[in-house]
Amino acid sequence: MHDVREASDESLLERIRRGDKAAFLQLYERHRDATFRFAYRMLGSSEQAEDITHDCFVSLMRNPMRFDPCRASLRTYLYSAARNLALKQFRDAANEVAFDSREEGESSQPAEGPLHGLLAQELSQEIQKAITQMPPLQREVVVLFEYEEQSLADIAAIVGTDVGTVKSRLHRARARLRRVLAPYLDGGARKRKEESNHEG
Amino acid sequence: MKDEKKMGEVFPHQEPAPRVADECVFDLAGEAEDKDLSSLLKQWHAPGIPPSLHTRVAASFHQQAMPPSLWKRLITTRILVPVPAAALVMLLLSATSFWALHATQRISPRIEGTVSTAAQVEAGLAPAGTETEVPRGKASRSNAPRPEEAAAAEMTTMKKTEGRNPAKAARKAFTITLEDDRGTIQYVTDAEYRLIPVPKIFAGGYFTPSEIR
Repeated sequence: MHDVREASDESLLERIRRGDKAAFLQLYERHRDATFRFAYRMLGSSEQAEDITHDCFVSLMRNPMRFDPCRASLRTYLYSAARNLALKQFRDAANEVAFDSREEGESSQPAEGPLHGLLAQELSQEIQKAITQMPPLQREVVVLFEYEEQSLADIAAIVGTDVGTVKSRLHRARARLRRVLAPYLDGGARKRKEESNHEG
Repeated sequence: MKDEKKMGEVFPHQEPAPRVADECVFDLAGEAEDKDLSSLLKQWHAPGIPPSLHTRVAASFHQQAMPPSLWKRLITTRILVPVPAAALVMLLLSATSFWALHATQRISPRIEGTVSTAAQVEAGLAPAGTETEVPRGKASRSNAPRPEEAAAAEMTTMKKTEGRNPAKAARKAFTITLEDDRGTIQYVTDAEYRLIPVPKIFAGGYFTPSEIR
């Protein structure tokens, strides 16, 4: 079991090809959080994110040869698979997922008090709303860059385009978010200014 | 639209670049604003992974690792057949069924009993000028008895009916009606063999049992 934890993704995949369940579970433990988070932020639904994460790992289990370690990392491969499945869901649902059908209050925001919790929950919902209202191609670069902290080159590999296009999409997405979330950004800037004045 | 076409492409080979170099993308905006936006976006937290996901993934792995039984594979196996091939097979099956049904209707009727040569001549079963006995269940256009055999059979029939009560023989007499597009032939026989009429095509016409008395 110890060697499984220290093994590389490639060696684990080789063992998965031979039917090693421990290797598969180890690989699953390594990458499930990132895959689920990305799928959730793309779709805004925990159930759909669970389905996509499941399908990604089942696909990897059935066809481990599809992953080429010379081209990208396994994490990039899983992001790409999750992204393709998410876009498929977008196409199937024709972007008709209603916001009121999404879960409320499932955020793992720590509660420091009833009022703070409510405000944090409202802020979280506003950010989620702003991101999920973006076009999918802008949304994915924002999620991958801001939340998953992927490099532009990796994002370009995941979304199947060049770095310049990713930069352009990210710039437009950030401008849009700045516009939509302006009240919260201004509030934060004002608060920071007040804090600096208070310190001065 | 161009981006949409590229959506299906995965993993174009590109050299990885360090994330630090990506900061140039923010040259267009103020650094402070970007930091504010980034910290604000971090306020949206993703939920934890549902416990059911691990169960589902483990079950899928178990199902994948354990091959299904032979019976299950036989039941659930699917075969993809192109529509033109399926249509061709259906057409061939239909044509074969139609041909087989049509061929059975052309089979010669089974006749048990004695039929006079006159009727057979009219029906085309025997050459003119001979008297034959049609064997049981073997009467057909192709295997009609030869003239000498027919003559011997006729003699046997005549011997069997000799010396009998004419009234009793008359009670056993019956009429065979042969119909086709050339006309109708009726033949009255007094053979002692029982005639089993079969309403099938006989020499191009129909063998009707309605005239049996």
